[in-house]
Amino acid sequence: MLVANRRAFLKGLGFLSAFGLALPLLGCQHEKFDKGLAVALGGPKGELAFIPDRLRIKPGDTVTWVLQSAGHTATAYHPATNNAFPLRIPEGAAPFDSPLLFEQGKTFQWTFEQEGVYNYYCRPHEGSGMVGIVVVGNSLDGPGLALPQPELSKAAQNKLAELIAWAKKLPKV
Amino acid sequence: MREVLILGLIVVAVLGAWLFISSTTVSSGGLSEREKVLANEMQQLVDFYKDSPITPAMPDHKIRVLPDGSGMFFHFNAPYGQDSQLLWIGQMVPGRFCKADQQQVETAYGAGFSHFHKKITPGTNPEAGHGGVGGEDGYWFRHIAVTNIPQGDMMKGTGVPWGPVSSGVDVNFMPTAAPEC
Repeated sequence: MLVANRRAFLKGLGFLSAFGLALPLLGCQHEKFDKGLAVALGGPKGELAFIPDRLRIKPGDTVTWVLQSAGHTATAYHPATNNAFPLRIPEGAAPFDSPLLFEQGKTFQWTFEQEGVYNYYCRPHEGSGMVGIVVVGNSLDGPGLALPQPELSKAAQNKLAELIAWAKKLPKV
Repeated sequence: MREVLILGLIVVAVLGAWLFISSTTVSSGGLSEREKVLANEMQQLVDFYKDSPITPAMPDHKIRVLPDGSGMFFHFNAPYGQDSQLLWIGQMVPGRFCKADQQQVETAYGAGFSHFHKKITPGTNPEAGHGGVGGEDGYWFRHIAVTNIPQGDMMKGTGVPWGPVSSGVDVNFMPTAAPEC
């Protein structure tokens, strides 16, 4: 069991490393900005998750999402991507919305110019709680830290509450 | 002595009757006759749900499309097979991924159509077919849990992230927020 878990872990790690990007492991110290700006879309066993689901970056940094399993998107919570959802990225920031990615290894990139907190989701799996957060710079306020609204799925609300709690504890850098 | 003999005969008779009943109700595969009948009936039902209105097909679903274009389905915890467990039954109604369509379906059939699945999803993984962008063609699903389902991780088989779910209409089933089109 332990060996199987280790293999799965190494497989996931190797996948991201193949793109020359370091995996910012869950639970790492976020005292500085993350340097490995790769996020896996889906887990190695088909898990419905962004891995890692939280990043802290500098303004101007580019994040790369890499499809690992299933079909996923990385889509900002913004009425322009789905008018059923509220704004959960900084006011005035451009919303990102990847195409639905199907082939393992396909990527989507977005450069975050504006400081603030960005919440995002996977179009097919928001209902399963597949959401993530990107904190850009030191501006720890705005719609991305608001209490998750009832328009969001219950699973997404629960996950975002956890991510927001993490973001609120980030120290100024 | 006579009483002992009578008592012995009674014990032998009871044991014989028990062995006879056991031999007629338990098959070689360990299933009772009743269990065999139930298994056959379940298989008969599943065989009836043989349609594939969604591409790519969902291996954990068995669907029967009705003449009016709507459908009934079984939804198992894993691809249907020997070890799969039935978690939901339900209805599916054709429509577009728009809030107005969802409301129309719920007006006609009742509340609980929380989930949309595209009719045709590019690629080979049906997991990508949930929701979509406004206006896409597909089906609105209403799931009815046939058992209580705990909150947990679907991939680990420990439950569902929108749970816990009580048997009955699963109003929170993997919701897909439909836009105004």
